[in-house]
Amino acid sequence: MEPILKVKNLKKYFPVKKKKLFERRKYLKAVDGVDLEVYPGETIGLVGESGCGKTTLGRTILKLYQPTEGSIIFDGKDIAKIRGKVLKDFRRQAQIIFQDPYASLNPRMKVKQIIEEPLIVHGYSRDEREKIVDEIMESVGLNPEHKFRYPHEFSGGQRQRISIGRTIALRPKLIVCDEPVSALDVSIQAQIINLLEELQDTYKLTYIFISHDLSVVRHISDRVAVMYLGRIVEIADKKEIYEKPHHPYTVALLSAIPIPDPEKERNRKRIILKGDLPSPINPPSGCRFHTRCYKAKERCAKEEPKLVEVSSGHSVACFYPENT
Amino acid sequence: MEPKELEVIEEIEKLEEKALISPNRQILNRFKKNKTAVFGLIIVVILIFVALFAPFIAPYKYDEVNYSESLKPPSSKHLLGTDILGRDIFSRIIYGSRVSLEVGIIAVAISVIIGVTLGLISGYFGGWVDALIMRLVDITYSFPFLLFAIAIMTILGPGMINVFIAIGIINWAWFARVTRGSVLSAKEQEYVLAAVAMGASPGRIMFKHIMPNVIAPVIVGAALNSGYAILAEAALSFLGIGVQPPYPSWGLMLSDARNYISTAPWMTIYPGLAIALTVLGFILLGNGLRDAIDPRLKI
Repeated sequence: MEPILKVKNLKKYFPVKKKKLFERRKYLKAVDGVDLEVYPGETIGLVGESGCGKTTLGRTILKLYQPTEGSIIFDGKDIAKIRGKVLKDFRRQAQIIFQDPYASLNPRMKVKQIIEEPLIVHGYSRDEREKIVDEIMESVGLNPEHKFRYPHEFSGGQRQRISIGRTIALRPKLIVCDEPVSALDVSIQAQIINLLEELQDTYKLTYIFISHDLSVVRHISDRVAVMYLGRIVEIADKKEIYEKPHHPYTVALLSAIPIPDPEKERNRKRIILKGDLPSPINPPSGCRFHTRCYKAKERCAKEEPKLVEVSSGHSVACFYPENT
Repeated sequence: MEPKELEVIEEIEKLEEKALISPNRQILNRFKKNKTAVFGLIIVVILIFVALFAPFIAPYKYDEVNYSESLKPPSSKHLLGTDILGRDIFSRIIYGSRVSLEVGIIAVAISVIIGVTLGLISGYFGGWVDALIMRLVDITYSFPFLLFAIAIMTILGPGMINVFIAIGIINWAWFARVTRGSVLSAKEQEYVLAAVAMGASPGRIMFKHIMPNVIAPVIVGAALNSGYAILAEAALSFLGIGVQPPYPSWGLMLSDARNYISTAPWMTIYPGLAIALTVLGFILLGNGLRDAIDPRLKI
């Protein structure tokens, strides 16, 4: 099958404000050479700790940020440098769901206006819009009678439903879900996850699901990519990565998932990483993870490991992988 | 359940209900509680009322000359006395409120339209556009207000409409700066990003998504600025380059009165009082609006 999205060597650097007048301009390397293929209909989970560039990657793929380097091939066309009408056409097919359902809805617009807006932008007639808004509200589990209410009259979970409604109004092919449930109560999380899965079936959607919650990712994803400091360090099928993680960073992340069994929880070995995420302005030499890695050897500080396929569909960027 | 628990639950329910009141409703409630703000609003409402119904309130016409009644102190016939030409001061103050109100509205509207538009563009696009507009703001700021106004009035010539224009094109800079500041934070909001992601045009994003959410400080500023604009008009008219006689502007009346300040003080006191009260009204209203809309605003 042809991938719907093919990202190659994607980079996004943000210029850092100079502290002195005659200083060389520094860059924050939020995304620094990412390769990723996404297939139609699948859900790819993107995990990593805060500040690793997950959100920036998601937003760059959608051209909310102009990529610094690299190509983004969507449906066979490179969209890295498009603008104007072609870009607008792309926007119709790729959408985003944000994390915070309080910040992502304009407080001055009614629900109907919010869901209808993408339709107005893309030139749907009034009658079509009326029909689609009612349809969408029903399919995301909102009462269409509430369409003249403002966002502040809804709870967090309902607001996220509104946000999802706006996202699917244009029937996009690809949706970047940027931590869509992290801001919600656990009981509501499950509802929203189920809704996303339902919608995926109904509308044949492809998800890039960004999260730091490994249990949620395990539930919803088909494949999982692990990011560290602007790069993907490991990518594999869900089952494979949760059972046989190769990269020491993945192993450490997985060891942090709480187990709902006190007996097991007490006896298992937890890997605690030393220190914080290094600065993405000045990433470490060689393997970016070597400063915190429990397996690091001399080579790791000098050479940079490439992301290579070790078994079918399972790639890892490490010289000394685990579980092989 | 324990009665204490029930109390707590009730408390929570009350809080939840409060959270459901719309933001506009909350603003109104806060405003109503603020006594000085309501006082300011009352002054402004009275001014509007007086300006609208001036011909019905004023006992005389503003240009009704009566030499036999020249320089009469306040009496039952002339409530606030008369000037050198025997014109009724009370009536002239009533008619003068129209000038002040018009300045307060039209001049400020001109500054708001120019300022908010340029501020939106500046903040949204950034880069060299931003730099250019902000330097223009700096230049406008660097001129002493009155000197700049006199220069513009000299170019445009005296007259009421030109006063509006002069004050309007000086005051826009403040609105541009404030709007730009709010836009910078508003454009990082996720609902703006969502609009970008759906392919909305920059104009739509600026006016539909950003503007309604940055307009609060502008409303507050407009109320405050109205007070200053009225003051500026009085100053220009006092200097003789603003509103032209015989139309009564409060500043013009003060200017006429200055030779008689010791013999006929009522000619100075009452128009002066009218200016002070009106400006005070607008400023109290502005401060009240600020506290009601967002107490953290620093204006």
